[in-house]
Amino acid sequence: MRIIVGRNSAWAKAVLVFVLVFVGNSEGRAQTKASEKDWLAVVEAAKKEGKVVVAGSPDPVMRNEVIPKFTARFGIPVEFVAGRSSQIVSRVETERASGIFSIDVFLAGPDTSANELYNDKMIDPLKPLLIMPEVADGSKWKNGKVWFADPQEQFVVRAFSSVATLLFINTDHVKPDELRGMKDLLNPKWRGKISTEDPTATGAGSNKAARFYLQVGEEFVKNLYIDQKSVRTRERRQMTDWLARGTQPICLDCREDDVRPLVKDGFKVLEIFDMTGAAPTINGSPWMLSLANKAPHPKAAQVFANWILAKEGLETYARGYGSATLRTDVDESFLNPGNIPKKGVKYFDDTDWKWIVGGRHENREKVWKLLKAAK
Amino acid sequence: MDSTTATTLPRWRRLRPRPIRVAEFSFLIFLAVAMGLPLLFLLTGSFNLSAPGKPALYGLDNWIRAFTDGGTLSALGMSFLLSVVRLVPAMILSVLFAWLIARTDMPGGKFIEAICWIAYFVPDFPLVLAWILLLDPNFGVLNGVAKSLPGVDGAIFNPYGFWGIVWVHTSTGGIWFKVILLVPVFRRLGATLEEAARVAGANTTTMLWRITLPVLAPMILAVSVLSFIRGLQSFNTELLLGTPAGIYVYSTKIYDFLQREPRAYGEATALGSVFLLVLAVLLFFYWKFLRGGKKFTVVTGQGYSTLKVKLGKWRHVACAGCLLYVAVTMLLPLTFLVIGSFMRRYGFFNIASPFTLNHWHNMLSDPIFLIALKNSLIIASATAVGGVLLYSALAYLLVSRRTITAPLLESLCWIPHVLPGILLSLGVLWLFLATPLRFFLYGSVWGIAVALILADSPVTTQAFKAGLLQLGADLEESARVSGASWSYTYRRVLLPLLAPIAAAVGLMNFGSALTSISTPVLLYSHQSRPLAILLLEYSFTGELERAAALGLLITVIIAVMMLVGRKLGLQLAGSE
Amino acid sequence: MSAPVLEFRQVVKRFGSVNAVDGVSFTIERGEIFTLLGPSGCGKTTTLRLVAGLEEPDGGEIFIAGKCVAAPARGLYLAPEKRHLGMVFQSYAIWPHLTVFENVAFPLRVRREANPMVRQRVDQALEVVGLGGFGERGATQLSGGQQQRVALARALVYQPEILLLDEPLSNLDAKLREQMRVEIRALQKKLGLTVLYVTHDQAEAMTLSDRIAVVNRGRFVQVGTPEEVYERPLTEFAASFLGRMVSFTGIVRRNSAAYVIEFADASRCALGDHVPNSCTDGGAVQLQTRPEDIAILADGALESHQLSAAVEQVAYLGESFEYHVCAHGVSFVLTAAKKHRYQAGDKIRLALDPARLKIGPV
Repeated sequence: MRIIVGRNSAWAKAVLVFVLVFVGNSEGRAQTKASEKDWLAVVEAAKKEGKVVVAGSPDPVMRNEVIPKFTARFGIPVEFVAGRSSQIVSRVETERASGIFSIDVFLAGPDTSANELYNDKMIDPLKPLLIMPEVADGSKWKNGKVWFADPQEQFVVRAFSSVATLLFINTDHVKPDELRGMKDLLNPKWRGKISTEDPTATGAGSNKAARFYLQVGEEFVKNLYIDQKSVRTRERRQMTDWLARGTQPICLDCREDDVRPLVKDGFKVLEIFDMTGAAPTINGSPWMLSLANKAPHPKAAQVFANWILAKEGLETYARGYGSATLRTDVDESFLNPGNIPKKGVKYFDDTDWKWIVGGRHENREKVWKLLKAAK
Repeated sequence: MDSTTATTLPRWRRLRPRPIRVAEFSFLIFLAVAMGLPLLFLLTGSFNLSAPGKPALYGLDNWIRAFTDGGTLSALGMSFLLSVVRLVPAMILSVLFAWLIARTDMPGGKFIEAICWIAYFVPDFPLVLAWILLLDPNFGVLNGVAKSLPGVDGAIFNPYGFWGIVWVHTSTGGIWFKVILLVPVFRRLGATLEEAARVAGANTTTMLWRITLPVLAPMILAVSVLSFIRGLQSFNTELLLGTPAGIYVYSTKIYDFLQREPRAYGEATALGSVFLLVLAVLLFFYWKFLRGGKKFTVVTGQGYSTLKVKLGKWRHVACAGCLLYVAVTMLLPLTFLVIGSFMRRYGFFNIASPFTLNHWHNMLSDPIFLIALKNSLIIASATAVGGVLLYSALAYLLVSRRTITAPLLESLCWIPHVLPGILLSLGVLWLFLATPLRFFLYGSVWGIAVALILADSPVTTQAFKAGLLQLGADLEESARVSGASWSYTYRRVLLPLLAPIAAAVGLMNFGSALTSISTPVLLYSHQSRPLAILLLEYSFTGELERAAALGLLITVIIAVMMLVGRKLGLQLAGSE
Repeated sequence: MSAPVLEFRQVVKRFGSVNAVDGVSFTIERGEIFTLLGPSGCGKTTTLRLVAGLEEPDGGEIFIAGKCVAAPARGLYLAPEKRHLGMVFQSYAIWPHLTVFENVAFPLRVRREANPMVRQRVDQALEVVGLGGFGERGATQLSGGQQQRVALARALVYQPEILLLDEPLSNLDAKLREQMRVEIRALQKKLGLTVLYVTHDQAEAMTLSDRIAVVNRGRFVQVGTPEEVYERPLTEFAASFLGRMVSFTGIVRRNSAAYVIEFADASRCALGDHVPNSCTDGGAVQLQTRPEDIAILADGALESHQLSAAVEQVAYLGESFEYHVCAHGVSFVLTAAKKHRYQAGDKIRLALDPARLKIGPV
């Protein structure tokens, strides 16, 4: 083949592409038909395994809705190991060092997925296992196929792509008109009125600061976090309450699912996605999906992974959490329209693999250096 | 032939295993394995520079990085400052409380003691939030009240900052823990000692200062050490009140390293080792101070009497003072906490229909709740009973003065107190996985109970030691000469005499087992998830109201156990 | 021949670098009261605790009723509960959580005696110590004397091989102490008990004991009947610890066949011919005698061994006078009958009893 290419590369390439496309397609179709049967066989095998162990963040939607629905559908109980991903990972790593393999499925944040699970080779290729027809069917996905975020496009599935919140404001105290561009945040009027998750620690606060450092620049970060005397906290509930009371009516790092109840209770809270001076941004929150290697219940894990990427699973999660999925068939009417990425807009991807494993760390280190120097 | 071999046994054969040596070395092995190995594992790990799963590569980089990281040293300074500033008044107050409760005729002493018990187990996280609601310069209720006073302009209270943290600690950790530990010790003090001082012409203050306190010095010292280290590790209050004011403490730094991705356990352990150093220094002085400690054997069968100091007209003043303190530092925020658990949004009174039963309803109807409750009760009971049996025996060994490795034993059993909870948890996790018992211990309620028992070792051992030191050896020795074996003596003489302390310590272990989060966090499984982990999950996802409800429920369980436990303890003691 | 009830062979017990018991050997025969007498810290209580098994010796061997109970060289050590002893502690060690009855019954319960037997023996024991009917009292409701009796009843209730008494009377008032002394003696005779008694009170030791061991610095200085020990103390320590001892020093002068002692003030006192050969002419010599062997000479009476002295202080004891006297720079106390009365400042003459005088080189 290489020789042919060497002799007449244009012709050879055309043939090659044709062959590949044809063979691939026919194979694909055959697979689709076969997969119906395969899928049912996997489900049967999964039931025999008796349960599936899922590790993830203790979001109420997971416990109250996703798990009961899955168990109702397949009759397979779910053991949910919930907690901070850093804790879960240290535990799993220690277990593995002793030859214990307890987890089947990881629903982990991008950082953990990329820097720990993938990097430390704790997960198996997932691509060949996605055989549930409505998952394998590329037409059901906005990208035309399941989005594997890792460089090998085999291990880590990204299921969400949602416009990221830039900040929240309490409109009783801040008029949307007063914040049009990023530099408006530096208005002395807002000194001490902006709350942020502590940017000196890892987490949402420093992630956002890293993003600002990249998108808006060092001077802005210094002005915003230091000169504006932005109030720091480690407790997300504290920021949300400050936002509601208006003591700090601009909140950089409040979480959407925390703020939603405020809106229901009649607080005038507005989510802002876009301001001039900062690139519009999307992210893959709340999780990325991967399957543990040497999983104790591999078939059940496969069933769970397929189902959570199918319409029922993903829609349940998206509805509870408020993120836009990458599926085409999920109802998005309940989402804040601002969350749904618009066609034609070029977004900065906050969950981009390279950014996660490299760029964000570098920018974060620069932010930390800056903040510590200022102190 | 036979006779020659009999008389010239090799030296090791002549070292016949005597029961006390056997016990001592069993404990030594147990403690070395259970407390020393996890520590060793963590320390080794802290020098390992390569990523998990990769071949180990050793160096000092983690340590250098940890201590040169900006703010580490200033945070350490702040932690020491806070810890000392908190400790001094809290110690004075708690000694005073304990003395009033145990040694005087102050009315309501039992009641105040009970309050201290309950107060100690009220979860601190919602309590700090209650203080914020009370003291916040913008919306704090107390500031509102103060503003209406003439001559007051603007907010006079501000919880965010150094003094805010100090104040809130009087309510959360505060004196409760210390009073709980000190009261039984004061109770055991021979009345004759105080009476002799009175007869010798000492007034109450002189007596307290010259007799009571010096006699109880070992325990007061131990409680101070325990509290000081606990203060260094304190965390929640500093996070909520310190961060907005730019105050960072050492424990926050450790927490940061633990939360990093990829995790920096090496750096966290390096920082945590400072606590070991502090402990080593404190233990050194402790041992130095206690050398020749037999002089503290003050309560023997003879002086056993519980006559109380008459305070006269001051008894009501004392009672009122105690109650006022309790009301301000506990009742006030606790009321907010109770109300908070019935509010749709904690602390927001102005929203439409602010009150609801939903959080309680949601909590009680959560299918996980009942399982977690059952797990928690099993874990806590096992921890309480196991801790009492194990550490009363260990304390006995330490006090008996027949051990040759007492300082080593004692130092080992302090380790769990100085390791930040999550590091201890990691060490224990590793230990479990490394033993053949792992299929029994790992992920099961029993494993969590074992870990909690390990975590309880310093407090429990110290409490028993104090009790035993004051009982005196005669009571035990006379039983031995009467023909009772050690175990019979232990059951029939020592345990009943220690029953009040055992009941108190058991109850305390029960309570901490119910409320401990950091110890089980790496050890629980789906089937063995305890209530505290549920509480963690609620607060992790911001369900503060449900967390408040669950926290209160845990407190109620402890309160009920306390009533039962005290009754049982007193019955065992055969008195009152 | 039956073995002694208790035998120590070269027993050593060290605390750190101090030899609390330093190579002690002795035996106790059945039915005797053997007293360890010495100042506090001399090792007598440690010796007792070695018998009880509350301490382990570092060397030597201990036998109870012919059976070896401790021999560190052979790795032998019998736990206290297996030695069949009874012990009364100085603090009594009455268990505060048990009633009087249960306190006394404890040794029987340990031995799993049947209930009726327990009741009978405990009642009997309480009767013996004079506490009949006190059984249901709480142990802490008793007076010191009563607690002492409970402790005694507890030690006696199962007829131990040896009854160990550790300064049992030291916490009682003088009158009660005297009464208990008599009672213990009577009880011992009645029950044929073997008793090892520890005290620092010589009067107690003298009145109670069949034999006394004078203990000092971990060693047995002298063992003998009270009379032997008192009358013929082997060392100065034994002499001064049991009763008082007055000693004068001076220079020996040979005066033809007789000796005299010359004091610093040039006055002399005849010594007769009782002077040991070790005292050479012109050498320093010491005279020792017990104060009760010194008599105050009536006016005009003459005695060969006499000293001049001055009365410094007088105390009236009711039955007698007590004179604080100074002779040749030595102060001591003399008790004298009431027929003569001297005032402070009076010059008197004292007579020494040559038969009870101990003379030796310094």
